[in-house]
Formats: sequence, structure tokens, C-alpha cells
Amino acid sequence: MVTVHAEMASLGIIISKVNKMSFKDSVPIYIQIANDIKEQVVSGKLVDGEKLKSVREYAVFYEVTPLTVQRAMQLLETESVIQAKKGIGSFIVLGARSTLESMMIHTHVKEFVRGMKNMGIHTEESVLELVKEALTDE
Amino acid sequence: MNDIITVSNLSKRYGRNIVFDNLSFALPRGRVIGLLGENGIGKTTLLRLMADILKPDSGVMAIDGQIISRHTRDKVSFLLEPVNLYRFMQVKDAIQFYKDFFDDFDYKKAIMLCEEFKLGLSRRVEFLSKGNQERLCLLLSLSRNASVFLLDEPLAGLDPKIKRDFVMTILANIVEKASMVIASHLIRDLQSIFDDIVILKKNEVVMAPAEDIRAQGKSVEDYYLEVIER
Repeated sequence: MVTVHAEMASLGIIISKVNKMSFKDSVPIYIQIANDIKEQVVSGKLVDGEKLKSVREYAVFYEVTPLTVQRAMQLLETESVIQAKKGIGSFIVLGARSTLESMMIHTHVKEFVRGMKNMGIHTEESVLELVKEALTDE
Repeated sequence: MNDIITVSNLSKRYGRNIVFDNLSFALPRGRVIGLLGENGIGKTTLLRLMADILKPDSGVMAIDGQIISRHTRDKVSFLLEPVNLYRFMQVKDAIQFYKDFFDDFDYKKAIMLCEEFKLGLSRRVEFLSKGNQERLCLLLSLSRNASVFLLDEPLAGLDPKIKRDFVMTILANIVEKASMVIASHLIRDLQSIFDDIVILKKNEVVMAPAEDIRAQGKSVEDYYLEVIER
């Protein structure tokens, strides 16, 4: 976490810092930042309607340039996760969490089904049986 | 105009050694540009030409459309090296000296950065550690409201903690609409703060936005090696 004192933040000065998020070298960083913010929404660290940090604060937080943060913000806006209000800042769109959750669930399920198919498990019954087994084990 | 620096038909040689021969390219505005290339390829020469510390043999270089000369020096902030500091001065004298020299110097910012770096204003430059001398140089150059910031190997010889402090300080102090050109071999330490990658080869400049490189599934380092070796 990076702490930026409000008064000093306007001058762009960092007071203290701990761990840096590590990025994959070969995936656009703005996409990784957008995903990180989405995960924060799903996990409840950022709540619907909450105001986001400024571009500059995020730049220092993620240790990337303001331009990269701006691109992440643009991506989140086109995906209706955040809404930018001119001169005020960006906010988490109401209902973003549930939208993202269902999107993520769909993605996980699709990946799961694809994995099953790759292993030769095609029929509905056999997939469901495995799911039931796994649920009882949990 | 989206380019901050334009270079047309630049030639520069040291005696028989031709560094640039008829080189042309432009650098975009409002971005952090990583200037990469092998040792001796001319990165430092290029930065010094941009800062008007060296003169080209022929060709035209311009900043904001204005041909580079002593009149463009106040648009450019060149990162000093500790040897350029006056050893007898106190930190506060060095700051005052810079303030007197450059109209765009932000005195308040320099003082805040000193506090951030825990650099006592009354300490004598000659008694500062190497790391602290480097810190003073960085804060002096970042405290200007220039159009172009030129940093030649800003992380060379620094320990990992100071390196990280430097990266954070650079990021926190990027001046809007200004461009920063950082020449370095430390691709891994700096790749996440480069918006554009500019690779200097023998008489050739290869450029790409860093995020475009990653979108192709490559790291900046992979790309650099690929360009150098082809």
C-alpha cells in the first residue's frame, strides 16, 4: 500500500510505500491494472459508488506512468465498471460488483467446461457427477 | 503538434568516429520515453545534443518547434551528475543556486523533496553519501517546470532501495504535457514506467509504444534484444 498525504499529494510527493504489485512482463500493464481494480470491486475492497484515487495517485501506487493509468481507466469506463465525472473524478458504477461477479462466474464455468472437454469428458451427466463429487468433498 | 522533439538529418562525429549520420526521428509529447541501445551507440551524445551541451555537425533538432540553441535551454531539464555540484555548498545553497538560474524552478517542490528524501538543508554537499548526492541531483532536475526532462542512467550504481525511491519520485513528479527521456540499460527496473521504447542502433532509430510490445506477448527486454540482434 502507498500512503499519500493529501496536502503533499498535490505536489506529487510520496510519504511511504510497501509492496509493489508485480506485473507480467508480456501483458499490457493497463489491462493488468484494470483487472486488479475489477478484483477489488468483486472482493468488496471498492464498493459501488465509491470514488477512485486520482490518476496520479494510482500511477505512484502501481509504479507506472499516468498515461498507463489513464488507459486502464478508459478500459474500465468502456466496460461500464467506472464512470468518470468531469472535474470530480471517477466512481464505481452502481451494480458493478454484481455485473462483474456474474461475468467472472461465466468465465470460470466456461474455462471449467473447456478443461473437461479437453480431458475427454463430454456428456452432461459425467460433468455433473464430477461436480457433485467435488461439492461433497468440500 | 504532437511531437515535442524533432530531429532531421542529424550528423555528429567525434574525429573519425561517426556517431550519427543523417539521422531523422521525432519524439512524442507527454510521455516517458526509454532510450535504449548498446554501450557507445550515442545515447548520451543524443541527450547532450538535445540539452545544447553539444552541437550537431549538421542537421536540425528542435524542441516545441524551436531550433535547439542556448534559447531552448530553459525548456530542458538535464539530470546533473554529482560531479557537477559545487562541493563547498550546503544543500540549501545548491537549491538557491538552481532557483536563481532557472525561472521555472519550483522552490517549494525542491524543499518538499528534500524532506521526502530526509536531506538536511544545512548539510554540505561534499559530506553527503553518493546516494544522497544523487538524490540532490534528481530533486534539482525534477523541481523544474520544463518541457523536456533528460535523465542519463538515473539508476546507475544505486542500491535497490534508492532505485525504487527514484522510480517513485520520478513518477510522482512527471510534469503534465512534458516528456521525459530516460537513457538506461536497466530495462527490468524501468520497463513499467516507459510509455515508449526508443532503441538506438547504428544509424537507425526503432520506436514502439511499450504497451503495444506487451500486447504482442513480448516483454520490453525481449523486444530490445530482438531489435538489437536483427
